[in-house]
Amino acid sequence: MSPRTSNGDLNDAMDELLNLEEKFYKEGYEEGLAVKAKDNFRQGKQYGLQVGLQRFLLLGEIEGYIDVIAAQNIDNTSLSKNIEIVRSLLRGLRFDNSDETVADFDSRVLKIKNKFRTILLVLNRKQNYGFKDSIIFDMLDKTSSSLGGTLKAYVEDGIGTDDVSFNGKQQDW
Amino acid sequence: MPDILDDVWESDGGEELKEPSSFDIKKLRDSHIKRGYLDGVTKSKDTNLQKGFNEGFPTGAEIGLKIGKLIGILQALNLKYGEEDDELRENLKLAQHELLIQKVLTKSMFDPDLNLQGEHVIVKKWISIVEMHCKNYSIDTRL
Repeated sequence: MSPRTSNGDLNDAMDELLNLEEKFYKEGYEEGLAVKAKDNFRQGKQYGLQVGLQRFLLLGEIEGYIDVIAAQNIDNTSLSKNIEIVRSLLRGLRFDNSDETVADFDSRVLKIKNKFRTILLVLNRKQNYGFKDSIIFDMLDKTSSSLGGTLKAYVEDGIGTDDVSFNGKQQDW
Repeated sequence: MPDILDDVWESDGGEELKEPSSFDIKKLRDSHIKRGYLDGVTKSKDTNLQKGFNEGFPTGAEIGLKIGKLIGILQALNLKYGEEDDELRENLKLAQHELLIQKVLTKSMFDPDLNLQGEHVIVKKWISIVEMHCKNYSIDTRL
């Protein structure tokens, strides 16, 4: 495009146009940032609630079993010692999602599971503690998977939707 | 030169520059707002997903730990006393149904910002039921 009027006028017009473009772009940018920020934050929060819940179910289950087992006042040094270890490991759990906590979580969970397995071994070796069946670790694992395993895609409360199996992907609810 | 500039000047037939028409401005506006909007969306996505996740995670964790504990106590008690205690047996069955993740994480349990207002109603209900069984069998626990 060649100037058909004085350069000054054209430059002014160009500046004005570019300013306008920038203004519009910024307007859209802020809007996109804000609108989607809220949506994304909400989506992330839903996902965080779900993953948090799923990740701690089994630990809670172990804690519950431990309280019932401890109440049997079984006279066994190794059992009492391991119960105390599991309880202390559970007490040290933190709930945030920082890198540090996540790393701690994994090793802590491994220790808790192993100690709890040892407790079950001791318990199940002696059948006279009044538990009708052996407590099998896989049983707990299965329960927590079934409680946390599926999440219904949310439409409206009380209105059924198809079960969507939740495998680490985001679901709306 | 972007097309948009041609648009602005295309109606210029005479010697003098015409003021861009309101239609041209609207086109310019739409196109740049859209471009900005998309960039804004991309920019915000990752950071805000992560921010939200980090905020929701601890609450989910606490609920999960609590639910797990409620179920764990009921299961363990059921293994020991379930044959004679019908209520305990029934409660375990019901708890396993009512404390499913899709029943616990529903909009009605949370405010519009997905925060719990006070205690979770279903969890609260089961805490008092499980406490009753614990008292019954002298289980020392903190729910």
